[in-house]
Amino acid sequence: MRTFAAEMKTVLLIPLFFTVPAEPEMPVELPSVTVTALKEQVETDRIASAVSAFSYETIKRNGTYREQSLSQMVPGLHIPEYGASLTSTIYLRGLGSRMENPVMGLYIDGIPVLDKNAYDFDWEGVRNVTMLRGPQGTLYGRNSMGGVLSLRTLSPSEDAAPEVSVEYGTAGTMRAGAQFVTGRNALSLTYRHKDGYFRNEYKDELCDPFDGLSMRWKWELHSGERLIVANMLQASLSREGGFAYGLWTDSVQYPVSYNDEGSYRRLSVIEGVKLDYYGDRIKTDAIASFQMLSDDMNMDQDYTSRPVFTLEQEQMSGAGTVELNFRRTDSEARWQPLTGLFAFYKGNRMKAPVIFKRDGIQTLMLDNANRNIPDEIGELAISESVMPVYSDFMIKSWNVALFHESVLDLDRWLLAAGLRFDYEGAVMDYVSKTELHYRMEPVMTDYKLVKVRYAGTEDHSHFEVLPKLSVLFRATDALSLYATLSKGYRAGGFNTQIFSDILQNKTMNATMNDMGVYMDSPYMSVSAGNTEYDPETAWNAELGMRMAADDWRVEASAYYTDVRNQQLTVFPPGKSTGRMMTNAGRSRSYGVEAQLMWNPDRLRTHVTWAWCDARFTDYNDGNNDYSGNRIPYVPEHTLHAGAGYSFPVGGRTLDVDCALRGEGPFSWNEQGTRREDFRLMLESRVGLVMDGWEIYLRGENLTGTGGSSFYFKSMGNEFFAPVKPRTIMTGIIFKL
Amino acid sequence: MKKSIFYALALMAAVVSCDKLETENEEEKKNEPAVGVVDTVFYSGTLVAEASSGTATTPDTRISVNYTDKADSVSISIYQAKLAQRMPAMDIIIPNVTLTRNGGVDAITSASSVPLAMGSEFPGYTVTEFAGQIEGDSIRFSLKFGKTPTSFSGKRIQVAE
Repeated sequence: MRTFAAEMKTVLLIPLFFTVPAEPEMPVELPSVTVTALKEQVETDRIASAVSAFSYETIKRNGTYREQSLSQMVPGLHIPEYGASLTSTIYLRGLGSRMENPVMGLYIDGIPVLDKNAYDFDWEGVRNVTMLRGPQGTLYGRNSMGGVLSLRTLSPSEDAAPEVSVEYGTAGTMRAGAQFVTGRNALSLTYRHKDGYFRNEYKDELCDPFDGLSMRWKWELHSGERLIVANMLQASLSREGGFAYGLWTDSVQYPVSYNDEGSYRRLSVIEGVKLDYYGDRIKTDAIASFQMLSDDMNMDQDYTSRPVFTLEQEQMSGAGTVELNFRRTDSEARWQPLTGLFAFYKGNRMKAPVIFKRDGIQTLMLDNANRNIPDEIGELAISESVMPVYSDFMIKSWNVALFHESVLDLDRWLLAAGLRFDYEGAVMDYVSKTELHYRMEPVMTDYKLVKVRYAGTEDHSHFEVLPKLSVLFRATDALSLYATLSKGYRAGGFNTQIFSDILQNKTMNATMNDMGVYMDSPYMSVSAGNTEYDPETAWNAELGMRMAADDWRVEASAYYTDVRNQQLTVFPPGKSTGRMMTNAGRSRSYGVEAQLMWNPDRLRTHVTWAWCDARFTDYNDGNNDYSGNRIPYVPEHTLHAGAGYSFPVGGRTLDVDCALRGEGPFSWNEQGTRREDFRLMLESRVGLVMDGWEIYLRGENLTGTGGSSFYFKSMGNEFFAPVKPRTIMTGIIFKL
Repeated sequence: MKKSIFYALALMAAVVSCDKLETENEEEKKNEPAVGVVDTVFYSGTLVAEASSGTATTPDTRISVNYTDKADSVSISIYQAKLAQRMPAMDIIIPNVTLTRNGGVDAITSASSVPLAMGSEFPGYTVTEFAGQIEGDSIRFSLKFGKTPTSFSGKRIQVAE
């Protein structure tokens, strides 16, 4: 096991980053737009999708340095903060799931982040955040079924003063950051530490500490009048604790108390190159990236103080992406076509041993086995007190896509139509094995060894056609109305987490057969052939409006989304442990979203609200029919409402901001028997801005609102993770 | 007196050594490799077990008659024998079944035999009143597994090596 210090040394300090420059020194005129890293060919205000955009000042003022902070600030977005950076559980407009592929695509300066495990990183140096809501499959392809989050980071072209910041607060939380531009380079650095909020009573230690280091370096070159070359490197290294799950039973919430290790270690590296070439008629941009992720998770899988079972998941993945986009150099032309080609290849080696300990062997294996063995036969016994079930995987996946979108500008009318052909395939090689010593008491006097090995290959491929039609009507200079019909999808995959259950069943069968005993119902729920799950697709129809004047802005949208082959996390048939993804049937989601901002002079106000009704329309797991029930983990309402004012104080400025953050109610399970009410949390910030520096005090959840951020079941036990408690931080920012 | 003690000791020694020998024999027997099976003939038929919980009838039950180098003894293997509805099926070997050849009809009998299952003796299903015959390609027999009257009749089958 490498030490944290040793790993820090391996993090490359070659930050080179690229972005579309805010104001390139080029004779070719770029559209005067809110600068984003989106692919769209029109200004953000003229995109026929629901858009949320946040400037650097807003990000800084809200303490938004991770994706979770965007929850509620973007209508309908819910990214619960629980567990480790591994779990970017994203729900948007009623779409989402706990595992596997996300419903929201993430782009950093035009580079797609392929692995959801790499989504959660520090946003030091992020200058602009734009979120497109609704399926964006035509331009962004896979995993943008709910929307796309695009981050634009500090560019060497920006006239940004160097900045150093330090923040310290509750739970020993400390964050130090720096960002600066020098020559053709832009550099961002962050170190973040947290002692932890939640105590594991069994171990008498905090269970959720965090230490992380992030670096981002961008390099940019304008070569002549037509070529812009940019290079980027982003690396982050983190070590953190485990999940703060506490047992809930008989309506009593117990504190966190488990005996086995909970930890997560991750190294993520993204290296990208971009070329922008402005031809006389065609502008070409080419983006290529290499992405590496190495992580190791250890989890007490039963979350009790008994020695039941643990899970480790160690991954090493490498991926390459390439994208070519062709569009007109003349950005003022009425017809703006965009044609693109995208491809990626990814290899992921994963080891996921499950270790059964004494109580787990007894409870999960022997008790189940002996329940079905008549007394006349005897009683099965296993000599091991620790029994590992090893599962190794090598998953190779690839994607090729061809897309086109045409935008026709007819002054007041903006018509857009697009189509994407998207092909994705994957191959999984698996080896799962274990061994144990058994005997049937009293017939057998000695323990006998049985070894089980399960190996093979599974593959799948899918082809998706992703169309889009939209129309935007500029009724007045201030008012625009739009309508959109679009399709998106979330990639399928393989249920690797179920292999320990498969091997448990095979081991029990092998043990019984080794004795010459044949159960009427062999221990077998699924096989490797059943571990594949299909892509989930969504059609979305949406109407929206956008009004803006000098110091105010209103956006509202109403949508209806129909989901097919919905991916859900369920237990394997007949089991109370393990997780598998299944395509559950169909669901639908409809809702209304609104954003209001009014910023006259020194006053800042905003309200962001969403209502979502997301339900299964067809879901029967073989035991229960959940059709008509709410989709779990999706909040019915999200709210972020705030106000702030900048007071002039003797040549300085006192910024005072308050906001209410609301979410819920939630249903925690398909049955709807576990629910959480709507909750509000107060956050606030007071900052004194002086010449060249700022000192501030801010707090989150100042109301001390309780509740749960997440829920899960294991072995028939129910667990909740609590929301983050009241936190207060003070910080200082220097602009050099 | 001394002579009596001596003879008594000698007798004791003889008895002890006999016991020891038996133990050793028994041990030797246990440790002896199984008597070699020189031929195996497979049959498929219907097994009927009249358990106290109800009759379990299993068609397509496979058995084998295992001939050894002892001309008058066979063992009979019953594969996936279901002796009661609630019981799992088991592979059972009935050892030391007496074979009496009588023209074209071979009699198979056993007064009492402890079957083997799960690699060990299974005294709970001690076989008694075993009686049957093999005639041409047919076999039939009846027995008691413990208290469960059981019968089998079937036809010879060819099994790929």
